[in-house]
Amino acid sequence: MTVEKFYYDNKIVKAFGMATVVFGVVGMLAGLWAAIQLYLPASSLNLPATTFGRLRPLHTNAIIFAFVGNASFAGIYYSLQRLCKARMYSDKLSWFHFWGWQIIIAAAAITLLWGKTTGKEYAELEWPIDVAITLVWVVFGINMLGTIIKRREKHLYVAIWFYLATWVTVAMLHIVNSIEIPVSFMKSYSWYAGVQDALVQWWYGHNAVAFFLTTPVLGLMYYFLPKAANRPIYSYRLSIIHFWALIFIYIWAGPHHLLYTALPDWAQSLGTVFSIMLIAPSWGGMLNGLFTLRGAWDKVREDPVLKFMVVAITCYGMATLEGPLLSLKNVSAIAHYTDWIVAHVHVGGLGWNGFMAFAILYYLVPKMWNTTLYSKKLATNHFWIGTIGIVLYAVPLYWAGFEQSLMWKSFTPEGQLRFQFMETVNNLIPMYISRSIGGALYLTGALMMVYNLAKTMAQGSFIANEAAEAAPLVKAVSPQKEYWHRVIERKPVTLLVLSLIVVAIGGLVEFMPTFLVKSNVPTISSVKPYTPLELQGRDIYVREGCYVCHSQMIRPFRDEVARYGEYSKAGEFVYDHPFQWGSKRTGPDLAREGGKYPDSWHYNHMYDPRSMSPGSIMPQYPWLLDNKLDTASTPAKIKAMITLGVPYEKDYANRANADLMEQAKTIEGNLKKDKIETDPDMEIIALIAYLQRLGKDIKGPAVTAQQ
Amino acid sequence: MLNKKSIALLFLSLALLNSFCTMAQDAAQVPQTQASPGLNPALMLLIGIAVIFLLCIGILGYVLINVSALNSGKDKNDQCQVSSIPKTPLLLITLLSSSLLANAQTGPSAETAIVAQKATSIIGLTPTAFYLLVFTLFIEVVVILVLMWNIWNLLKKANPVTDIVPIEEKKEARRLTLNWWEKFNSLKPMAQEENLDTGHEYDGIRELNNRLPPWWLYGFYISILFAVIYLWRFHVSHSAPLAKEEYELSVSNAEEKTKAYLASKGEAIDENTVTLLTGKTDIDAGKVIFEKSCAACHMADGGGMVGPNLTDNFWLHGGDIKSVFKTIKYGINAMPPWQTSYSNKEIAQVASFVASLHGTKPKTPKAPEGVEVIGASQNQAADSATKTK
Repeated sequence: MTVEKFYYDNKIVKAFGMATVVFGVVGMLAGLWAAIQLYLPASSLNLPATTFGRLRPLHTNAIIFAFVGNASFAGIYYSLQRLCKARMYSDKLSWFHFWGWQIIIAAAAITLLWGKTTGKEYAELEWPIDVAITLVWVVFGINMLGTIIKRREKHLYVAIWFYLATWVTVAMLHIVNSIEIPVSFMKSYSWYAGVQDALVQWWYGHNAVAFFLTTPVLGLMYYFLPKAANRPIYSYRLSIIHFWALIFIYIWAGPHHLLYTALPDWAQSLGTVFSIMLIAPSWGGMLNGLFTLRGAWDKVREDPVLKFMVVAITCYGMATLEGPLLSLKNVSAIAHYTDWIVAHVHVGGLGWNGFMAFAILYYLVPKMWNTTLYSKKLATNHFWIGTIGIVLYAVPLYWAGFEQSLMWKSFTPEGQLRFQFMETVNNLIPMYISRSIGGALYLTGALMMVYNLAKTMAQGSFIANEAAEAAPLVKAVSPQKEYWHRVIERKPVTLLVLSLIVVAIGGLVEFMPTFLVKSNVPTISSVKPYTPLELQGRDIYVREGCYVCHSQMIRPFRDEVARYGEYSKAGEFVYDHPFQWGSKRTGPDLAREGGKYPDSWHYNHMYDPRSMSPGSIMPQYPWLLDNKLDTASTPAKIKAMITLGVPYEKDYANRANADLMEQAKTIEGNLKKDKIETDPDMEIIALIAYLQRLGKDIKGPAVTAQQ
Repeated sequence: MLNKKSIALLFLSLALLNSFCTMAQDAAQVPQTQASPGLNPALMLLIGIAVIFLLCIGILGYVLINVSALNSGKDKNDQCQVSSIPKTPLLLITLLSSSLLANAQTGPSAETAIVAQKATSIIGLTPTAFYLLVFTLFIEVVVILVLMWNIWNLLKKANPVTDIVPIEEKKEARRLTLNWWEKFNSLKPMAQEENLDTGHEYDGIRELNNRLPPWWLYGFYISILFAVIYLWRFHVSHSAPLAKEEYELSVSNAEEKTKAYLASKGEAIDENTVTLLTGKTDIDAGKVIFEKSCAACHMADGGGMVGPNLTDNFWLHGGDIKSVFKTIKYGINAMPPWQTSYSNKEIAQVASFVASLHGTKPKTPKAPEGVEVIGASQNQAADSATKTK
């Protein structure tokens, strides 16, 4: 048999690796800055671009899609070539993928800080960028599948199963969740509304964690861990079971983000039970990792790469046990909307994703530069400082979440709420300070890595094209009967299609009834579409990222009803494109904010929150008082809403601005009574109109129900 | 002779019995009227004991097998194969806890759902569930005794040989044997690794084909069982409250609780609104508390010892009913606060009793302390004191 000689493309791996480091540092800095704003609101600099509501989406997008994304691509491009014994299918496509992705990241950074957002968590990017993501993702898929098809290895290793499932599922999630109707170049409305939008969004949001932060990184673990430890994979059988179980079950678990909300009960229960069933498949990955190290634990003591991996896999195990437990209703009742969730996410983010990325970088750079690591000691110090950082980050936030939740729920024996919302916030400040110290330590560790890797690169010489040789794949059909899964492993397209079928089931079962069966979202006749001014105000609410800190979903709990008013009903949100239920209550819930305070309170509060509620940690929004409202966009927005089925009259788009001015003048008049002089066509007026509308639709019937 | 299979079987049946108890409890529940079984302290205690007994049985069974193996002279390698035992207790515990967890899902509502139990219940459990649990505990105790008796008999016959092994041999032995952790995970000795090799090789990465760790596999099954029970309870049998029902339950319970609290507080008395109580029942109630908690320092007749004399006209912290109430409730200097021990109503009763002591002749009166008070309230107190007599 002839042996073919070929070259692995290391240059593309290097490019993705560099991007990983750069965007990792940028993303962590954004996170640190946002964290500091929680106890020093003035550090927002009173600039629109750097307030928490815009910085936080930047942080999450940078970490998920830029840092972990690029790290996964680097690892995939390195391992895929070696596991297929083939160079990437096309260098051109590789570089199109690389530059396309980096341009998307740059565009994301600019538009997010600019306030261009769809208002859906982890899917904030506007429609032109969504289209670009789809295009680049397809190119990545073609390049990956092309490489797999021209491979010199008969069977596909488990890492590649994970890569393929990642690709096909992310494509499905991104396309379904991003269906939106463009209003202008950088503005669109989600196709779905209210409960349905929430279901689609968290089906996406949950599985973005699953298929962008988990499955590709598990694939990387399956390659880099046995390579670094020089040990065989613990169990092939476990790989098969946990792979299929994981991708099948994960998709169903999305509704656990919506427990006790207006989502139908049956969907919530599906979210809970599938989360519980997810424990074992997730732990299968952890076990296959940790047991692979059996007989190599002496190496873990020496090798920083393995150290990072062990902590990463342990954090993965912790987070994937905690997640299902958080999906139990009685735990969610305590943890949801609090910093507990932030802590949970960061055990996964800092521990699993961050440490895996560091481990892979420490492994790749010496290999590709044909040298040894510049300083093992520095890497070990990075490991320890990073681990301490994670602990300092997570522990105070667990405490904060638990404490705040108990304070929210606390009643005096006389039946009164024991604490004002503000008291529960002020109590958290020390914990917020500690978490930012933890974050700063973690970032320091990352900077130590940057120095260490730069020095390593300097002392070695880069191998752009690494020579390898292997025999070509012979098409001969094997005469003896193969194990059934081995058959699938040599048919990449079958594997891809099977993965798609398996991941499509959960979503279909949850979506179909919610969209088609009317009883799931009972209509309320008193709920009317937003007025043009309120609609404009709502867009400002979305633009400023208010949903990042304020929920609009009162759960059916005694304390929430006492604090905020009648609990939220599914029928109240039928005109909300997109829904704005939020996922965190750094500030109080706003679902029934309308009519709670006078217009002038909101005016002053937006200018300086602390003047109206002392101790508040909300940023100032002085620009809302100076910006003129863009009324030219009103007709297009109304038209888009009509297309989405919102029952405005057919020709309302043309008359909308007249109504808008009329309502604006009323608010201007109210403000004048309280000695505030402003023009009616300011952004603040629109925002006040929206805030004063919130929750009012059913205030009448709710009162009668109480009597 | 007991062998490992029979012990495992015994175990399984006991566990099933255990979980049936919880199930029976389940079935007997009507969520609207009774507290969730998962949070009934008596049930938790009994199940806790049952689980601990099960663990004991597991450990004793394991010891018994080893002792019997030692006795019959089986070699060490053979013992390595005994892996069914440790996983069984685990299976049971998880089985139990999964059903408990499913029950506990009634959550916050149950916390507040403390509604009077039916007269037919025993320590808050239905009779069936109670007797089933007691029966299980009884069986478990019998099994433990039998196991202990067996071990004792075997140990009497046993004659273990202790030998000293050099370090290199120990290392080699380590490759051949398994510790408890490895057995727990159904791992094979390192020396047998070639047998597990699948022959797969990708870029130098080989794949073994270890058995799935039993606890993992059974954990997976149990999580599926949990899912079925959960969906059944919430959406088929409707024996667990959905969000809206849970909310209504929690609000009505809280209302009841608040009402009860306000009633127990004696219509919301505090130091600003307290008035002198003159009814005989109130004074007598005050006397009982006084003798229990105050007499140690003030003497039963109020003559004073560590604390001041309460019968004279001299008061350190005011002698009117409001001041006395306040002193008792919050304490001052050496006087401890009593607000966490007694309700405001009870404190008012004690204060009124103290007022009734004014002018009486104690056996060993302590010298006067503080300022002399002869005010309207004092007279009033003295008047009422004479009246009650």
